[in-house]
Amino acid sequence: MYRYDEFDHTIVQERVDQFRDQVSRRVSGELTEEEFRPLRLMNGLYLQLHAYMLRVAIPYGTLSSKQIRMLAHIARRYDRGYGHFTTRQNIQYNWPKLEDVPDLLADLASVEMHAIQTSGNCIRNVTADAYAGVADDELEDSRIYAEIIRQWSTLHPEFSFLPRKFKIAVSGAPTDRAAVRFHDIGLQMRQNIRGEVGFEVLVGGGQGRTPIIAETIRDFLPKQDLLSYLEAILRVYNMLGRRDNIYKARIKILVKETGRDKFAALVEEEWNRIRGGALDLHKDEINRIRSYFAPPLYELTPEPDTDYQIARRADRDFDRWCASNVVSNKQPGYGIVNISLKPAGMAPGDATADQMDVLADLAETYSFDELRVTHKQNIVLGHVRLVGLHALWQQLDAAGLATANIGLASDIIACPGLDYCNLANARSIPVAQRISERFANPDQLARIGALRINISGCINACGHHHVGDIGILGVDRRGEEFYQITLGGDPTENVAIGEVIGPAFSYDDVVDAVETIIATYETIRTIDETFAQTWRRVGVTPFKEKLYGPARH
Amino acid sequence: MSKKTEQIFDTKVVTANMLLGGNVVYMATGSSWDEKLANALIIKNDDALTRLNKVAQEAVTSGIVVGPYAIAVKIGFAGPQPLSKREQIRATGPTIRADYSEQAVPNV
Ligand code: SF4
Repeated sequence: MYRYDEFDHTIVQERVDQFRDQVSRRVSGELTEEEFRPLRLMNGLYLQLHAYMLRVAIPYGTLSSKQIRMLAHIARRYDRGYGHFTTRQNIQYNWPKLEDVPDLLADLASVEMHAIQTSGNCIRNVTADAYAGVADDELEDSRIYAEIIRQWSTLHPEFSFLPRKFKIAVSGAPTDRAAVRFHDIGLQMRQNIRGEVGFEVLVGGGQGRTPIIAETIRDFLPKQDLLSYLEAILRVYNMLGRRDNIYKARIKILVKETGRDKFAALVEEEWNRIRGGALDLHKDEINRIRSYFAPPLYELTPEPDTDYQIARRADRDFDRWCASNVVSNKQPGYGIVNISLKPAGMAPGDATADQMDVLADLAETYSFDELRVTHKQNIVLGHVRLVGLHALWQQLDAAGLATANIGLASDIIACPGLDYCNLANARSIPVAQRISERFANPDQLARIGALRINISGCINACGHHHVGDIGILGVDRRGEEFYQITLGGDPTENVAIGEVIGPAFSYDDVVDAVETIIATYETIRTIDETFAQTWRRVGVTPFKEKLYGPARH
Repeated sequence: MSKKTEQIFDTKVVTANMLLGGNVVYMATGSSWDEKLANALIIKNDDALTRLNKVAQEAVTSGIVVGPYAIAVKIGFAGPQPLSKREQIRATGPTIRADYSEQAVPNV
């Protein structure tokens, strides 16, 4: 894992001191609310429906045991004993008090964490593949480059007041687990014909009120040019991005209005001016960062995993959990363990302080002291020996963390929605809770198979509804909650934006509608066909007919 | 004020969040702020609304509350009830789990 250098420590400590001073000046009346609000937001502190909300950055989702223990401590000491992991691989606290936040930030800083650039029109937390460094299909660990980008973008003076917020994702594997096509900049690692590894650069993707799939502006970018090229993109955006209309301020609108080719030409022009300078990434520097992400000391002669095989045969629940939650690590004898934060009836992505402590202990014992937060709001232990898997599972089970549903119908992405969020139209979490209760039976879940259900409480799409097989969007109808359903979205390399299926459903009816869609899919799919494949084959009609009755001509 | 205006005026209360705690409050008697919606001052006409908005703005300036605004309520047996779902949830806390709600964890 990356460790802070002296420079990082100083920045973070200075920010804590600065914010402490700003809070006391606000309380004394020296700063007005208008003056204070942007300062508070620069430190990740929002005012939501019921309370302040603090968003803490977890760079590319990676945490040490020590860090998640501190997150647990913060939940207990300054909040109500729980935290919410988000689709940006961050954590949010829903109940901190303004007067406590400076102490909270000081505690965070003691484990090299902060809330800088988790709000505002700047470059936000860089996200990466949650299986980085352990996936058997990757070219390189994407976190190396995510960390390099983090360092470059942290307090970058030129990019602190962009037209709008800016999100970058990196994938090191051809299977896209980081939704790179739905980011302002997506970096997809590729090999060129000479066998060198670099990046395909995609720009202008995003969800929100105008979902757009990113377009490739460069097929292959050598690694050494990564930062100068990113700087060129950001410069063009900073100069030309619209500041007159918040709904048109994201780079996706600029790319669309300018046209991909012209936009790419502008970037190349700027890049040619600045490349080869101070931003050049030298091999030594890449290797220095790479050393922080070096593979752990795996057992090279793995013990035979007979115990694990015997346990799977003997224990049906364990076997089921292995099938849905564990995937192979590139290191033989090891697995990647997905820990579901979606037990039936609970809020997706929430973890209690006690659960976080358990996760810290288990990461220490079983996974070289490292955890990752996924953009699907779950936790990953990347390096677990198969021989220890049964013992790990038993301890997870005791902590309520052994739900066997990764990638299945109850592994729902949901934003905070109207239960917390100031911008919401409708609740998301209770809808997710009701769906996961409806599909709580493990046999039923297994029969349905892989399914993405994503829920957002408003058009901002924090719950990624545009890319769900089934997407649910909360809308407001004269103060009442309604839900519009989209089908066929896909965040992966097979990328698609979901299509609206018809009139919205009420809060009471939306879960039945989801059940009808799933039942229809089960009836019409061919063997082994995924939802996306069925959708592409049959289109909207059969689903529409089941939901709204046959079309009248 | 004409009778007609009074008839179409939606009954309101003024709400805000406390600056220090962030908790939801309602303007109550004597320019105080109260966590209980039941204790909120009921606004029945434009004059009262203008007056209370002014008091609320002063509370912002003096660093007591943040972002005050008026919400429409209906008056039932249990006192004022917000008309919108958003304000109902603001008044009673998240609907997710009983132990997450405002009432379950008093502001100490
Ligand atoms: S999608 Fe809307 S309701 Fe949900 S968290 Fe984002 S802004 Fe809030």
